[in-house]
Amino acid sequence: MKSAAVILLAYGAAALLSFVVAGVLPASPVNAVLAGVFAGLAGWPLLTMLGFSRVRPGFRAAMTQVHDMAGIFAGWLIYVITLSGTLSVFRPEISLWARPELRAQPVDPVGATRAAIGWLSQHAPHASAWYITPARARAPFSWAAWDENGAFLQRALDPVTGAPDAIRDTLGGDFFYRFHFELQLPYPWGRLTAGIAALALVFVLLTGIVAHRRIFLDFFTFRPGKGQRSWLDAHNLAGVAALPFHLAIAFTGAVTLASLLMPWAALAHYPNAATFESALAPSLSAPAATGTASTLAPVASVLAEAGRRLKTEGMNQVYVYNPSDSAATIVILGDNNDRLAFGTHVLRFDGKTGKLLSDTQEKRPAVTAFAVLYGLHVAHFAPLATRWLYFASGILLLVVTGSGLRLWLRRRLRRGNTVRLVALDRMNAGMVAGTPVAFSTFFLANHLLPVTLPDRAEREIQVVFAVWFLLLLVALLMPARKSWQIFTGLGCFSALAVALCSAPWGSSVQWGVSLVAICLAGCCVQALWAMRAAHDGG
Amino acid sequence: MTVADSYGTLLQFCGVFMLSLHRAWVRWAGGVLLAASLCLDIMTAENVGFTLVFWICALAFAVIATALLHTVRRQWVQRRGGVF
Repeated sequence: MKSAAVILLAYGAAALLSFVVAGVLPASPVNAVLAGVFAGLAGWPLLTMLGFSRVRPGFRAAMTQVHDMAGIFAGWLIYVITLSGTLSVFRPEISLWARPELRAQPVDPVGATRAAIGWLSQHAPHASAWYITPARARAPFSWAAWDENGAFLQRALDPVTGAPDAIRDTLGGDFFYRFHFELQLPYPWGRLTAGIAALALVFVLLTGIVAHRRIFLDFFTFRPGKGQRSWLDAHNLAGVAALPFHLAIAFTGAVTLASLLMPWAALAHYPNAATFESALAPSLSAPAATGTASTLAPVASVLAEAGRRLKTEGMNQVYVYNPSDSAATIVILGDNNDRLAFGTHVLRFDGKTGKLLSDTQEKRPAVTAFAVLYGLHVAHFAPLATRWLYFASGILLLVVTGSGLRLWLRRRLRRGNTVRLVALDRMNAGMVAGTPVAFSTFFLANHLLPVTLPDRAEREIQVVFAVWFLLLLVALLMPARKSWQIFTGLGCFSALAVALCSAPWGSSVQWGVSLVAICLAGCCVQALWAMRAAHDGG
Repeated sequence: MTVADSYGTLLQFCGVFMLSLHRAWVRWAGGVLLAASLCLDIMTAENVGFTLVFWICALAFAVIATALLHTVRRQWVQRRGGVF
């Protein structure tokens, strides 16, 4: 109860801080508000640490206690968000793997976008907006999203014909990407939960630095085969070695959801959050529909003009607002393959005439800082080697979270079993070992479900959640040790099955998925041997 | 990755490994090597931002590889009956 009060009070103080910073900073309103948001986001974990140091004796002891407490409360959430985020690093590649009828090949993004707009004009003319991600070599299909009768629809479209019929209905890598920050929950609850988890991770990492007494002495220490000591070494080594990455990814993750977490700074200058968002990115704002029907100007000239202005950047996103209305507007975002900042070059066209309305290069300092932080998180800029490092660093965060949860539970179970602790231990096996197995069934469902199955994309997700629920149920009913063995064995089989589905003799994407799956299967076999050895050794 | 990138990454690993050793002068040399690897990466970079992100991420794996090397060395010494 006291802990909840400290966290809420710290949030209140951080909200006030963000409001005051936004109000008093001698800068333009947008820059001041963003500075306030950054101050509020950084302030919440720091003020929470300060609050706990006041209500518990001894700073280091207090930080150790709250590191453990926050870890066990937020650990499972951080774990599943990290796992889906780690997979999202290769979102286009997973999307391509999930559509074996397509092949990685050079595509014409302009032609693919023209084809996508042509198909949408015929099949979704009354949508309020079309959001198109043009085809590119990494993902040779256009990804289109639009609303229809209140439902939000997404489909991959053929880069040549613009039709979705020849491509199987699946979310591909977008399932993991969306789950990473929406947790399959309705707006805004999923995003809010993910944002709080991101700041909880910042808090856990900061308290972990304080709690770890010998942070520099133990920097290069790993002692295998020594039970709890080995787990603690793995937790510390993975946590400390990748600490800059973990801190950066957690804070930038919170920044991407800042408008939900810290909306108070905007109130210092704007009547509501929507007005602030319009001021933040005026060239992205959607105009209100007039109600007068109209047709889009030929998009070929618009895309040709965009190509001239974006030069080597290429197109990242194309938005068409009010496509069948006289207020139709086409917005084209440049890609960020030559800079960290995401979405800082925006072109805006009149949809009715095709005339260029604005060509905006973002120069405002706080907005650019926001775009850089956003870009660092989504890693859209990253060349292949950096993407693999993001992926591997994500796995290190999984190791830190999983080993931390295990250490917390083992330490308490040694002091004596209670029903609550045993249930937590069983649930922990279900979450830590069961979640990767459940996620791997997405890959299997993608390749094993009939291609013509109605609502196929939804069925794939239903399979994942059904398996996840079953595994958690099994984990609750069985001793934790047994669950670990079963789930690790299942993990090995499902990874090998994914490798078999991948046809490693195929494209580089198939080869990459096979390699990762075989490595995972190898890790599962190693873990099974270690469990058996630990069991035999008593 | 270009040859210069690979050379920078190798220097980075050597720097981290030397930082993990006991003698003070070796640690200083490790620090210098680490700084040199960063300078080399930045000097040969087309985009400094991208290079910094790569260098920081790679540092984590240099630390882990060093820790694993020390573990293997310790186990090898123990297996031979020596005192580590």
